Amino acid sequence: MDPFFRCIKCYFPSTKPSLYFDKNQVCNACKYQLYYDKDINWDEKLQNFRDLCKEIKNNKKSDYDCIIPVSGGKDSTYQTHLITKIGDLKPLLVSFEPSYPTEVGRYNLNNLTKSFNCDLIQLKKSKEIYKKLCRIGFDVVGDHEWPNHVGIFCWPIQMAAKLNIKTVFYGETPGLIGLGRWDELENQKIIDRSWVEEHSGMNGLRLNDILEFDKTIKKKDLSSYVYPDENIMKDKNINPLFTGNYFKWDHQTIISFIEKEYSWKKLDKPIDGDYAGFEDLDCGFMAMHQYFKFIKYGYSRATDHASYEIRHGRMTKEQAKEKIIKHEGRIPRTHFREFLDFLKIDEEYFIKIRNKYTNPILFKKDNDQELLMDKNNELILEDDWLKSFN
Amino acid sequence: MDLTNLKKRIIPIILINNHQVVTSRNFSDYRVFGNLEQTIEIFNRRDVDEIIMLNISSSKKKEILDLNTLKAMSRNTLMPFSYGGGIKTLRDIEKCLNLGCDKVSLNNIIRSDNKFLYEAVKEFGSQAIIASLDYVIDNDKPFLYDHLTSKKLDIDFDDFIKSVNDKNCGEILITCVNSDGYLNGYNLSILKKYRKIINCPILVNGGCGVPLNMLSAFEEGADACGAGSIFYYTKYAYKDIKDFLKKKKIKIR
Amino acid sequence: MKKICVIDYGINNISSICKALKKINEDYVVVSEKDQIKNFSNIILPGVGSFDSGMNVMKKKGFDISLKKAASKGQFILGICLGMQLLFNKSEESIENINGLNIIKGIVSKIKSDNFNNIHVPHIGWNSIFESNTNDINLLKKEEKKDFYFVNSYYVIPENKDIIKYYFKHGKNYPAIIKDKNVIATQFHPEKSTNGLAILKKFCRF
Repeated sequence: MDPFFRCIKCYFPSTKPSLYFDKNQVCNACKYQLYYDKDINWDEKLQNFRDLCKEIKNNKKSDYDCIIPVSGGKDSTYQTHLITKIGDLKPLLVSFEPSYPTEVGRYNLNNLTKSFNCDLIQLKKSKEIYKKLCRIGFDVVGDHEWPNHVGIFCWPIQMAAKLNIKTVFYGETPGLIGLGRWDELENQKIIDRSWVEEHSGMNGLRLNDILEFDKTIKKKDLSSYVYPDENIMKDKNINPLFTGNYFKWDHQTIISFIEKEYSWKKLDKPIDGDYAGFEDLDCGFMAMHQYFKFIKYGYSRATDHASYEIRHGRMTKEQAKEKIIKHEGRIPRTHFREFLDFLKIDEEYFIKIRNKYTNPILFKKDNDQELLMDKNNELILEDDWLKSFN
Repeated sequence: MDLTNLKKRIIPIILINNHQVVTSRNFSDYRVFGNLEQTIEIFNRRDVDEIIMLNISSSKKKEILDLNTLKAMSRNTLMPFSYGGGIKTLRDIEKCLNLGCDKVSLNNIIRSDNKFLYEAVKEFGSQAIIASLDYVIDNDKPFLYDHLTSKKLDIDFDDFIKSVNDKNCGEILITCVNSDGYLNGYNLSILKKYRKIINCPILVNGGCGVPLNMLSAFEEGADACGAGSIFYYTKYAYKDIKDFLKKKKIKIR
Repeated sequence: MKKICVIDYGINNISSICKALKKINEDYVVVSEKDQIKNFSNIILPGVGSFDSGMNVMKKKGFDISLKKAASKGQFILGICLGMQLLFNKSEESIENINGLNIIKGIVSKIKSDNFNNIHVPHIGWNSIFESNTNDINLLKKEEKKDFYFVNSYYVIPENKDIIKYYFKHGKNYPAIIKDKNVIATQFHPEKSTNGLAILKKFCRF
């Protein structure tokens, strides 16, 4: 197998963190999809969900039955539908404000309170601290969204602990994108501390590092990003779950449904780096996070979505290849100026960091092994990347 | 009475495959953890004692000397670092040292060529050479392990480790395959058995999951603890580990 | 005018020292020919390897003669690790019984291991240094960290003990920094730590 190869079925790349391939070059996401489509008894799962909701209602210690972390995106909208309409639960919606809120994002978030008659708490974080964290994320791990990844997992769980709400419902199960060993995919029930450390995008960076790297940030400044202590989790019996463990999840089905039933909005044109306009809607800087994923691993949103559609039998490999090649791999220019201003950097510094985190195997270099760039500062993909679509 | 002020070391061991950081379990089950440069940068900023980079190239089932990756690492690190993986000749060692390594780690070559270790020490000095011994425990007995063939070897472990010691290598890195990747603690049986007769520093590796594991290893006489998964999959930052050990009166930088 | 050079005698790793000099914003030139060193006020002699490998290349390239001349003319020389040991007359490490550069009088001897007391050799890792009672150079501020990175099996024994300015302890006390007029040397690698960079910077200003 070559250094960079793709799943022969769905085109997920070998460089994708935590994705396993068998000896026939088929990835775990494909394997999981087969299991997901055939071996799960969804009626039984529905009954499990109903039982779970009954138990939640009987044991609640708060006015709210559960917490749903929401962004207003397709998954959190669908979850809210499932939990309120099928589970008959009264959730508290909690939202961790995105780095650069968009108009459609704001609309979809407000829509939740209207369509489902739910209360919503949004954490509007201290801008100064958040920007410092974004900058550290960008400089140290090439990911300005680092504090956001930490926040969207840890803050809702923290709120659950603070408000004595035992159950936190997250959305789609990671098995659908093959994240982790097979035994982890089959049995993933809760989002515990180690799951967050491994899969939420922390990249090995920890909050205690932040305190070392930037002495102007104090421990109290980071309180919203902390995953609650194990003892608190145990005492209060906090249970973060995947709703996707009980309901069959499919993007297109969900989107059609929530558009029709709840007036959910997506974008008319694709987001930079994607061919679709239904993901990463709420934050104008997400496309940049996806771009850094591309330079590090050779794939981003178009691959995520195309491979998903292949696994659901709605796209051929040929169609996927075309979309991926057409849409991926360029610096996202929408909101680019705002992005530079947000981090207080200039384009030269941006290019320096971009090049630093680029995986040199994927891109063309000169004789001194320096990355080649075109006149727009775009990197040039190695032939192996194009040849990987076989 | 403490006759030395030399500190114990905590050494992140970074496994590389095709310029990416990977993690393993029992020297198999490799998965990509993430981007190499970001992992190095975190360790840079943490000002770690030193790092060891091991190129595993498991997909091709043969070792390659990944000089490009080594060069990239060298460019980005200030602290001491060592490289292992695919070193077969003395010129290979020279290339690694010239690219900025402080030490090299030798594994397969010292088994397949029993003169190599002696020659390497003679040319480069013992302080530049780490002898890396991977082992499995089977029926309470240690066996040397070959990660390329994934097999335990029919070599007398006792003879081998003693001969390595006699050839004046700089350090011995012992990695237990059984505990690798499980975050359940080091296997300290080899350390306990051989500490009193090995003159050079011993680095233990394989299985560290919590700071307490390192405390146990240091108390048994390890000079340094290698670790991987603890830095990627647990809540512990490097400083957390050091603070814990300092509280337990271990000499740490 | 201060001009710094780093001697590349082929067997050593100069990339670390060059990286460090860049980091402290010091201009330097890498020299690999003996005749070049006379143009520099400050000469850095790094070293990784064995005594014999080091001296063989030195002699082959004629650096032994030109360095001795440079020392006697008052050019500042900084020897690092093996570079420190090569400055001396003889080393126990030498299998071929080769002479060193003979710039500093004394010999190089092996650190004794003592397994019972956890003294392992080579001496590898971070160790702290402390002043001798003849220390007249202020290379370390009081509040600065005292741990430096060592990788050595051997240590220097200068005939004139007064040139030992700092020691490290590993079983016994051994010289960590020596200074004999215009020749200064460290057993540890200053280029591997921030406090070491401060020492490098001070040398560049000599």
